[in-house]
Amino acid sequence: MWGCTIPRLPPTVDAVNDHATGRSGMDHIGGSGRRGHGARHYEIRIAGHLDTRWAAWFEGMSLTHAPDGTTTLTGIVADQSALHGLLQKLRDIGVPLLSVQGDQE
Amino acid sequence: MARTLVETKLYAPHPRHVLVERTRLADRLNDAERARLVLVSAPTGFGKSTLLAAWAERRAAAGDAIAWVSLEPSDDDPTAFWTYVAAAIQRAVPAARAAATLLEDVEPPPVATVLAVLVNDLARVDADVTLVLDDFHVIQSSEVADQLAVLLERLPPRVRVAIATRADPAFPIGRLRAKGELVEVRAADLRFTTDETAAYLNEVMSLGLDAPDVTALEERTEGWIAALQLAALSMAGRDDPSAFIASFTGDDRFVVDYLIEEVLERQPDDVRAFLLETSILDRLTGDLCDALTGRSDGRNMLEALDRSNLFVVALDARREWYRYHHLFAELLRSRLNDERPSRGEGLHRRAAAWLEAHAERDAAIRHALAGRDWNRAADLLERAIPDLRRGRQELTLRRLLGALPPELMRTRPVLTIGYVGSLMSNGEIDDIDGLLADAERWLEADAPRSEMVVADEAELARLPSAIAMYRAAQSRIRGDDAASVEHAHRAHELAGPDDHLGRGGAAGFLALAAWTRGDLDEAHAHWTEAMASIERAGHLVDAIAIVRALAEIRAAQGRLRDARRTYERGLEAATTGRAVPLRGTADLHTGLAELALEANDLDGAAEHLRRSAELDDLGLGLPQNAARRRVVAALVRAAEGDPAAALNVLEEAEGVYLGEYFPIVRPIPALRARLWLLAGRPADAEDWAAACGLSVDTPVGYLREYELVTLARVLVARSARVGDAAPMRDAAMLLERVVTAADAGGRRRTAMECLVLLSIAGDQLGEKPRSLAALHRALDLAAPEGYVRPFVGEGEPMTALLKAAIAHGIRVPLARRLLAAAETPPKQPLPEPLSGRELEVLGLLATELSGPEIAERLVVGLSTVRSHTKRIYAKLDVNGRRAAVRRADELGLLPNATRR
Repeated sequence: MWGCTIPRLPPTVDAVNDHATGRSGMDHIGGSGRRGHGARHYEIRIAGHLDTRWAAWFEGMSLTHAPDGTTTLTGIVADQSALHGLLQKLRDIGVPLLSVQGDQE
Repeated sequence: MARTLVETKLYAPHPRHVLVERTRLADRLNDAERARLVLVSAPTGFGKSTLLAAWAERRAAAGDAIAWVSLEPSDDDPTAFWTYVAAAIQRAVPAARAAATLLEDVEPPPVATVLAVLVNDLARVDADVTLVLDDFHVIQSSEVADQLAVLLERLPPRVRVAIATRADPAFPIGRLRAKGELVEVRAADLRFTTDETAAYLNEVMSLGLDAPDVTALEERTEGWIAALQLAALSMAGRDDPSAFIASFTGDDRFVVDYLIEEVLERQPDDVRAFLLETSILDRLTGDLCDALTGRSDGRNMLEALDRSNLFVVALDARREWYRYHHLFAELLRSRLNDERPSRGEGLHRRAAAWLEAHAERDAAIRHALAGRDWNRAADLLERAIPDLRRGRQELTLRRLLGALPPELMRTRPVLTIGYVGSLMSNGEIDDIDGLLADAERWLEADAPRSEMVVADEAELARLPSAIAMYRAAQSRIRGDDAASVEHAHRAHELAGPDDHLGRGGAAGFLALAAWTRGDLDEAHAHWTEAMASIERAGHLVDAIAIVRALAEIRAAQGRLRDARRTYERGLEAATTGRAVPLRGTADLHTGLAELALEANDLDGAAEHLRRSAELDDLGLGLPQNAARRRVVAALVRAAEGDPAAALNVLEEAEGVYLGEYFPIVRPIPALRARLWLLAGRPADAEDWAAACGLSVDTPVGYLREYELVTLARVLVARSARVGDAAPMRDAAMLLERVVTAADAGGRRRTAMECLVLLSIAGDQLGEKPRSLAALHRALDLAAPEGYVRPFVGEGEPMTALLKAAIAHGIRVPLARRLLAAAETPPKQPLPEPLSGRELEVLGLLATELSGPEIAERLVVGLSTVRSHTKRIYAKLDVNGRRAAVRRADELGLLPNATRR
């Protein structure tokens, strides 16, 4: 492509050339506000009593210990990728995951 | 580009402490003879790496070549990932170096090519090869996962891949499993059984525990090896391990929370502090640790940790570099974060400083960002920009620059412009205006230069020209060519004599604007200059894109020979002396296919298109080629007399159409209307004409020419259909106007087509002399260049006119040739003719090259060569290579050079 290095132009900007296919170049998909895509409250249950010192590590989620030997992390999670990041952190310390529950909107 | 590899990532670890011989797992892996994939999938701390390391050691002892990659988050990018894989394979098998060499290129080829070459590399290795990918869970990109799936699919028989991961990979493993080519080891297999727990605690750690204690520990930890190790460390030297076990098993706390506390409490203060402070490092060496701790015992400390099995893993044979076991590091980091929340930043900053001083750029950037040492991060990034862009890590660059605070950019014009570049290449053009203005302020006479921050002084000199260039690009994107030209002129003036990229880029924008206006000679001159500058700058792939521009301009000027020479020279430059052709080579074949079609060489066109498609599969086409070669294929189908098939191919082309930076002189809807006419669907074509917004009075401009001529064709067809001369007269008038404009602009290809149509129209209108005069002019334009298709493509009416021309003594030899071409059906030497690619393979079969060598020559996999060969044998009705060559020779199918 012309311009790979000298200003690299984005691959599909085609304002001048829209008549090429007769299609509009603007096919915006989606947007925010879909189910599960915004910030919402989550409860994550894990096995074992996780030390409360982890709270900072899990970006301010609060930790509650249940008598059945499980821990629940609760708090607002910004979006899906933040949620996956959180689950990955849990994975990386080897905590067995029991359930993930998001509030209904 | 000679990327600096982190060698420790390629080191196959040799576990110093063999904990427990795990024969049941070893046997599983040893049974894996037929396995292509060994998948070890389990949470952290289950001994995945240890298991694979022990297995790899045994295989190495048995003569296997072991290629080991310890993956890191920065490898979650196709180029980075395959660079390490290729390097690991090259270190394991020095002869298999083609892929690694390719990746060192200034402009590395696309991953698909690297993969094909890697498979060829591996196919030639005379040994069993095991590729181990440790910590594969850091790879989140589906692109890399898909590519690895392709590698597994094509893996030569003596090669296997082993993956250790905390999460199953994102490619389907069901097929491998069904074929018995997958060996899986999962958490349930890895966890210590009661016997293994006992063996570990009592034999390895000599704790002398009784059976109930062992069982209690095994149950509490559920055989989680990391937890058992921590427990054993907590108990070592205790008088009463049973009491420890009782309190541990009677506690609900998360296993390792409890144990890490015990372990750390038992360490002397200096060891404990060392562990916490150095936990932020991905890789540790004595000197670096000292930089963080402010002490001088780093090396001794690491050796002591290694000896006492405190979760360090040696990363090289000299035991200079270590890393903490991942789980242990996570536990330490969270503790550091909790106990001394303010400490982390300072540690990251010191790490960044040390790493920068030791030329570990990427790690230094990571730590500088983590330590919010924005100035250092900005300096490092500013200097890394040219390198990251060359390595096509635009996304990484965008992500890293986006992590900096925006206000920091304002005093750093060079960094700002780098950011503009990364935004633009990712299609984000909204914020660019403000950023350009920010950078521009520093160029003004009264700018407070003392407040300006620049890390890359060389780039500062380029700044004025670069800003103008981005403005030119932005104007072009907005469709404001006049402004684009103005900015490009300024960029050109401002670029220094050695700023080849700047000069080349500016010339390119001038060329684009001239081309869009239809000033073909001027556009050609600018492109020529752009190409020279860009080649001087070493950007050969961009130069290929320009070859296409130059050739298309010549073709529009009716200079078929020049156009062909341009492509052929480009092809030579793109292939000569290279193991793999440059990216963009596919596009050149597409161009040659179209030119072959102009000369009515349908076989040649089909052959170039086949080659183009093959190169595209290897990623050796520019993004636009996928659609472009299908457009040309549609033209070939139409020329073969199958307009319905042509319409299908055109639809495919539209499906993969990606936009275009070059002016679009042949819009797809207009081309489709022409195919409808050929397919006998004039009503559809008229619908297009009604909707296209053009009329016979529309002013003629270069970008409208193709559509206007299409409109004329629709009118001609309508006239014949309804038996009314009026539309034909309209068409003739329109065509006359287009010819005048095309003549004035030197666009002889358009003029030729219009004259051909005028001659047909004149004939139908009963204006014989005008008709023959137009044909005469068209033949004059075609004669020196060898155009055939513009005449032959018009079918019956043109055949009659050519006969008339011969009768009137007009351009007789040429007219005769064209007539002959129109009347010759294509030839069929075999019942089922060999494809162009098969002929190429056949030519190589006639040489002394081996199968793998042929595969390498053709840049395809060995299996592809085998399937070609099989089909060739079937078509020639022979059983072997020798017989095939003999038969092919008899049939005259071999190229002269290889014919015996």
